[in-house]
Amino acid sequence: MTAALDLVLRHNAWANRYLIEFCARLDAGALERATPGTYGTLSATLQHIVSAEQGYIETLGGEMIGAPVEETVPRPMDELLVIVTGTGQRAIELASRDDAAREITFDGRRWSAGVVYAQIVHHGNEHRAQVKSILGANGIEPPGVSAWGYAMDAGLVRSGS
Amino acid sequence: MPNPFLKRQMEHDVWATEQMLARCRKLSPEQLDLTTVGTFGTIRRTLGHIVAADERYLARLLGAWDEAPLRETPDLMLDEIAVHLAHVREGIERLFSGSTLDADRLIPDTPLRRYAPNSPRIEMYVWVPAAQLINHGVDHRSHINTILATHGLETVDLQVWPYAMELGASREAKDK
Repeated sequence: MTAALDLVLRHNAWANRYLIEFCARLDAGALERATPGTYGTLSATLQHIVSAEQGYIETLGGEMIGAPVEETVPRPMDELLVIVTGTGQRAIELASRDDAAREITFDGRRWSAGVVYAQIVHHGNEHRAQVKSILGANGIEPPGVSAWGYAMDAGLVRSGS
Repeated sequence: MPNPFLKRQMEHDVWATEQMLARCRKLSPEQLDLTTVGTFGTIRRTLGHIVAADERYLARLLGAWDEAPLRETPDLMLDEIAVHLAHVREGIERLFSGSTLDADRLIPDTPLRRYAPNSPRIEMYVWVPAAQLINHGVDHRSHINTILATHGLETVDLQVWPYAMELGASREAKDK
């Protein structure tokens, strides 16, 4: 039996990859677009997603996946894709044998590991939504990165009769 | 406890929608009808959509839903949304009150198709609406924060960090 969190994390990893692959196909100018009320430009928001996920994985597993992404230093989309593929996979591996109640120290506070896994999923969802808002506000149809999209992409949902 | 991670994740989702609802109660009717490009619609409509969708996901996961689901109309009142959000919280409790949730079990249909009998029957595995419930809420609450910020209104921090601190699940570390 697959743990349900495993698939939530698989969706998170898939959605990050799918969105970065989509944005990698945009022209460079589009990556500098933004809209009021969001985090920043498309490029900055994607870097923030990857940088934060590196931090969460380091907190949970003690290792940095890829060279640290500094949000003020632009990184090519293909590099972000490689890193976020690694962090996504590592999150799934760590969660499969982790204890939700395990105590860890982060930012000078004690947290349970479960809180950090929840934050991984929340943070990715929140900033992907902002990326989609920026795309939509700039006349670019955003890709579907919901769990429905993942399930259909993986052939895991179908119409019945 | 079965599926402790997922249960906590869903509880955070309800907490975050409750926080957003509380923020929306401080807005005027005109402010509730604000929107911005690139988002789902007005604040009011988006909040109702979050809760109505949560009910649909839980009905599918539970295989039963006794209450009439929230109808997504443009003039929804916040009190009505709050009543249905309470149903969502209760539904999550029921979902995790029994045996471990089997993510790989196939759900053949939704009990809410009785309200739309001409809609197609969609089969899906348990993990799909479970993951979607979490994704969907964050996605649309982010839209509301975007609308608030666009119009110069105060946004709400709905991350897991403040939720954990509110529950006492995070505290200052005394050692290094």
